[in-house]
Amino acid sequence: MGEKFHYEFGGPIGTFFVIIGLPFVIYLLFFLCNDKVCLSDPSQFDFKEWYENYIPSFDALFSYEATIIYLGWMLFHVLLERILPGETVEGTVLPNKQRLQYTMSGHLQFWVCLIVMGHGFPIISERVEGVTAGWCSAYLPDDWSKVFQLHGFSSLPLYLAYDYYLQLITISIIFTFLFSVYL
Amino acid sequence: MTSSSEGSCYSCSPTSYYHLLSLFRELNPRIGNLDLKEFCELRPGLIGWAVLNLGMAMKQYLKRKATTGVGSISLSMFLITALQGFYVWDALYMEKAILTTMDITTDGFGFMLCFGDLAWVPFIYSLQARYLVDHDPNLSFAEICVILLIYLLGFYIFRSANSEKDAFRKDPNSNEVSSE
Repeated sequence: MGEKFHYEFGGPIGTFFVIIGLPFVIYLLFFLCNDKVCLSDPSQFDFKEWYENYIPSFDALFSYEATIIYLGWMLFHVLLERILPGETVEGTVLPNKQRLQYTMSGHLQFWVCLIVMGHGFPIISERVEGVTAGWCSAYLPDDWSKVFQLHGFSSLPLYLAYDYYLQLITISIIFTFLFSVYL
Repeated sequence: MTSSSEGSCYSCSPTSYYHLLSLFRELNPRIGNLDLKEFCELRPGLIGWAVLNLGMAMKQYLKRKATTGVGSISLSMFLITALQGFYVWDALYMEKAILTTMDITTDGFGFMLCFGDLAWVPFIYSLQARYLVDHDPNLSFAEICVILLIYLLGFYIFRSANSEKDAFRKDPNSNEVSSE
């Protein structure tokens, strides 16, 4: 490199605050306004009372379900990216004079994802023996008296994103942190 | 990942670990032909934001159903889901234009972009919809119209400017951007 090296974001110290500060901002925005408390007028807001009553314990930041949801979401998108077709285009010319190929399947992925979110949740109920089994029925291997029947599909329980909002924030921060270590 | 082949590394002289984590990074890291940066920027992150909004709308519907017996979503909630959803749709529909943005051509993929795409965008941008679940202001029709007008104006400026930038970066002499 012939050019003189320069820092971005105020050098190592600035970068450190970016890495610590940005996740902190996400948490702050959640804790300052949610279903229990909401900061609307800073002059009237009792920060001490807020800190004592509305900051949950450390354990509340994590949940198994949110981790599954987040990782499932990422995996779902990697799968869609892999299987959906799209026009292949070249990116801009890179410093090493090469051009990378990109598959433009994002628009299709948007619609496929919305359709899956809206209609991807199977409605299954148990049926006792004797009920005509449809083409999509399946027998339980350990209990032959029961038949599971698929009635149709409903939307995914997206409201869980609200219920697990805080835990999803945590797992996304952990995930991106580990991911950037890998990068 | 320490690829220092010419052109693939943004700045290759690390001085400290956390700086390395966020700023010294590969320009276009790939696993096979899966471009991690382009993928994270558009797909799990942006679509995630739109889907989080839908989740918030669903929560408001269920919450109202639990309290009043009738499930509904407010006009504000409908508006935020539809308009932000349209913005996301536009970004993906205009996916080719993303390839000429600074994010793809110049910025390395480190903590800043990775965190920005997968944590910041979905969880900061869906703040409004989450707010509406708990504190809906019940906007009047006139207020909704004003919001819609400002949105349309803003969107026109955003889209026309970005398309012009894209046209210029692809070909500085193209008809779209030359004065002739």
